[in-house]
Amino acid sequence: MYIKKTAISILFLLLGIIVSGQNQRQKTEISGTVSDSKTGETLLGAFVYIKGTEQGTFSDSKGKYSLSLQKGDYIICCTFMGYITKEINVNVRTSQTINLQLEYSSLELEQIVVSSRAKDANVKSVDMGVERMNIGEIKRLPMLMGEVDILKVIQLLPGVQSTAEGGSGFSVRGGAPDQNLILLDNTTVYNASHLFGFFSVFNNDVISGLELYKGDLPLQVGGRLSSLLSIQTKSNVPERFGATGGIGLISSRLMLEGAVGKQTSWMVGGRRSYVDIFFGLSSDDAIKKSTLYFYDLNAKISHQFSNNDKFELNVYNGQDVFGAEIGKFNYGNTAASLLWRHRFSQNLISKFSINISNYNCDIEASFDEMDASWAAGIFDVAAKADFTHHVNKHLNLNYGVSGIMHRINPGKVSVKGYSDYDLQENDALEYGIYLSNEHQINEKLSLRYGLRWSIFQNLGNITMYRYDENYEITDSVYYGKGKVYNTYTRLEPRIGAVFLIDEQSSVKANYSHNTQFIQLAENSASGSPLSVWFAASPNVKPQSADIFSVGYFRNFKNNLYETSVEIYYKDMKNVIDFAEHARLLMNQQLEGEIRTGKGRAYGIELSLKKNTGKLTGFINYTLSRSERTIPEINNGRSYLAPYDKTHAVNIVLNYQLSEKINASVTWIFASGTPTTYPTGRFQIGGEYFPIYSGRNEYRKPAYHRLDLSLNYVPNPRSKKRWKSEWNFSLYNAYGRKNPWLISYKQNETATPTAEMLYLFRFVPSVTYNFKF
Amino acid sequence: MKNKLFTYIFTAIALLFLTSCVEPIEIETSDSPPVIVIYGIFTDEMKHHSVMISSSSPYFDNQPNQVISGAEVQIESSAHDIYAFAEVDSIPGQYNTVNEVAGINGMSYTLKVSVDFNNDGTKELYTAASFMHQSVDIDSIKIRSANLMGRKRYIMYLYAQDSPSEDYYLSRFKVNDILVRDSISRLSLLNDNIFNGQYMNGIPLETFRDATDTSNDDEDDDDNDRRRLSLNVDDTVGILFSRIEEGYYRFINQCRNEMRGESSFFGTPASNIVSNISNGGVGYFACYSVTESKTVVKK
Repeated sequence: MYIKKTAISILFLLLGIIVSGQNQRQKTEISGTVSDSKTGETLLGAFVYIKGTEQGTFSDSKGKYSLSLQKGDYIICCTFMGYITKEINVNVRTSQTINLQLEYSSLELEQIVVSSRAKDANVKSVDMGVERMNIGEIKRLPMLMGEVDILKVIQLLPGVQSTAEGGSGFSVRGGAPDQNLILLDNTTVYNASHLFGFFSVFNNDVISGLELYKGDLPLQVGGRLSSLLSIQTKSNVPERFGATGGIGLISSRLMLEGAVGKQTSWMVGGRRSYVDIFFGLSSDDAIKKSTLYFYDLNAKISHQFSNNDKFELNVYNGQDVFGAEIGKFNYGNTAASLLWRHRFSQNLISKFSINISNYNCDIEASFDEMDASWAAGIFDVAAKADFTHHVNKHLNLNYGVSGIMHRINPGKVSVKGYSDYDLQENDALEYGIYLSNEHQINEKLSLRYGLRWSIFQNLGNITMYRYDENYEITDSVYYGKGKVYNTYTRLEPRIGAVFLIDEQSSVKANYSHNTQFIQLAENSASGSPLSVWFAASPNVKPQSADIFSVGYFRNFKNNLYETSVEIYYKDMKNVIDFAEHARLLMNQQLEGEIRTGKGRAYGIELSLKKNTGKLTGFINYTLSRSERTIPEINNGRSYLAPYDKTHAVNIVLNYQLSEKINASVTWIFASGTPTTYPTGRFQIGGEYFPIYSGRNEYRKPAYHRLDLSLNYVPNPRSKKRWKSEWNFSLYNAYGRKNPWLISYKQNETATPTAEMLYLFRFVPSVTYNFKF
Repeated sequence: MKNKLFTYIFTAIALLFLTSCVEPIEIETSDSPPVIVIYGIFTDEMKHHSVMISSSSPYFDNQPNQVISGAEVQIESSAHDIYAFAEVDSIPGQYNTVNEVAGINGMSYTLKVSVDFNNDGTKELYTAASFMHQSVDIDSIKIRSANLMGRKRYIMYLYAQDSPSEDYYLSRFKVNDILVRDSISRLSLLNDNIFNGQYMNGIPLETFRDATDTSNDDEDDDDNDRRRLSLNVDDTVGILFSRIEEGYYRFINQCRNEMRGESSFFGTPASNIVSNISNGGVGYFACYSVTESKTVVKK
């Protein structure tokens, strides 16, 4: 199977090289630098394109761009977020340099609909199943408790479902939440949630935008089946010292940024919740002495050493802290990266980075004479090298290598007066090497294809248990420190194509093979911070997915409306579930609780989007199914994945009522999540216990909700540095009682009855945002 | 201990989300066909031991489950001693040993129930086997009062040697010589996962409420807490401590997890409770020896 896929990929690559050799016509090149008209700062990622054609490129880290053109007259356009789009008429006879100076927009960044991508990129790019949003779009949406949360926003996108009400866990095209790779400035964030998932760890003031790849992951990344969510913090060099912040019901935020000279810029952002401040008002002594808060800290320094070298240091740290008289519980992430961008030549750009990420969860308890603690987590050190190599029009290569060292601590318990009880630490190495090419075969057809080779190795020091077919331990083998005792190698071909039907419409198709080596031991849909990660091993084969998708993309009225239809089919092998009544915490034999089998997911996503004008927004509908078949679960019969939702509708509308007022409406509908209701019961000594006929055979009532928000800018034309706005929002405006948990109540005199717990009806909030 | 902490975390979160609410919901499900339910305990105490036999019913049926009369019930030991049972006239579905008998530590016992449950005219045989572990020597138990999150509580501590093997313990309690809270959801469980083979030097077994603490009736107390036993100073508290089989330990745990339906962040997918009754029956047959120890609640 792998040989076949590899052969196909190599064939495509060869095809590309051959075709590229044939199509050389007489061409000239225009190149230049994109910079800020006032400060002269070079701008990275500005989109330079030839109006009326599909030809375009992004400026590199030095603001440089180059385009090869046939002789003729053109209009060169340059767009960049926060700047006014520039158009220049040129008559191209010979290769020439055209420097583009963009004027900084005096408007608030959030109020401009400027994208760093071409307006018709959705039709013309090979990208499929990719969603991009900038922070301006995100900030206007109504949010629970007024906390703008990008993980909630992506749940509004087609094919993305929340796994629990108000939660930041999400499922992409029927996949599990741990099948999403979440990167913050290219560094893994293992648990992106605060307060058991009700809020996410991303402070919107420091974020510039997000990209979500719903299956066709870029070849630079691997290790997850379902999706890549890549979140970037602000990277544009500020003109001067500035601050952005906000005061909300749950938390307050402040972000400061500035520059030192022309080469160095910095940014620091922080957020802290303050629910526990109100605990002091409680009459209950126990609550008074409790703490409950979370915080996030982001920092970034970048320095341009030379025209060809730029360094960037990114640091994130966030924790949740729950404290009470009898103990403390905290969990959080650290993600740090050191990035060096180097340009070897105009055509060869590289990026080298070292990334560190850590997730920890600790519990301490003490009362009377007992002292106990539990600690678990995962720690990664990664090194990556990525190259973008423009050889010629038909050979636009991306290649690179990466290595990650994982150290998983599944749990250490210490109880005063007893010897420690520690689960074995688990070390593993994950490497990847990839090569991909993107090229335009002719004016109609563009291809992107490539291959990633992933290698996973388990390292000692560890005692590996071996299991028989009944998951009972037969024997164990000890491997010394640093000993590689197991290696998996996987080839992951990914191929995409776009065929332009006309200027406004295209058909796209793609295939991708993804592999996943580490996963979360988690049983509850809402997600628990205590869940531990575990690695593939001789007992646990890596999960894999073959994802096929096709789509039709059509824009109307000069790209004012974007529409698309995408169909996907996902075939998954070695998908993981757990034995019935599995014990996932503090279990030395966790691998004995794992049950693997097949999974498949398929669906159709319809989307309509309007990006400009007074009224903007999108409507999407997803029809989908996701199921698993695992021999030891549900008597081997297929069952619905916990995040299967047959129908999902998201409507997001934003209307600029006046210069001062902007209103947003969000409406969400989704079929109820699959659940297991008891069909029978037995009685022992006056108590009733359930009997089930099968897993996930029923559905909870459908979920729907309407949210409203209003943004009010008191002085939109103020020339003062201090700018402010108010955000008023109402979550669940018509008070739908969406069941969160369904439980059964019984007492000695009556037979059991069902009751539901619902959260969040009519939750109003107000947030004050400022900027200077 | 861990659970206790979470209770408070969730109380705090619940305070945060003041809008959360509980209300009844109608659920329509199909009905499982009836299966036989057998539950029996056999110990080393000299007494009449009982086995209960009934039928399962649809989950939301508003009548108590039907009992099954007319079964032939016996227990056979690994030494081939047979203990006969007879249905109690006044309590249909309950079968007691004909004589007062006591099990012997280190023996295994097989329960045999013969009854025509499916009404096809012939009797089916349902069996289950259980091993009676050696009893545990308790050095002492102690009860001390402690202030837990602003509430006065009594905590019972156990002092005993844990064996080198994997052990599962069951505790039941007597207050002033009356056995209390014997139903499955109220049994107290302990395993030696984190202190295997070590001396149990004051392992907290159970938390009791203080009967004089009136704040106990606060409405934000969870259901679990409300149903806790209350103690007064000078009460004599006894413990019936047993080493049980892993299967029975799991059965009790599963019963407790499944009976309340979904739980928030730490729930597992609903799964059928694993029984040791053969032939498609549900319920459990467990044997264990019992060690008793007492202490008096002091100020």
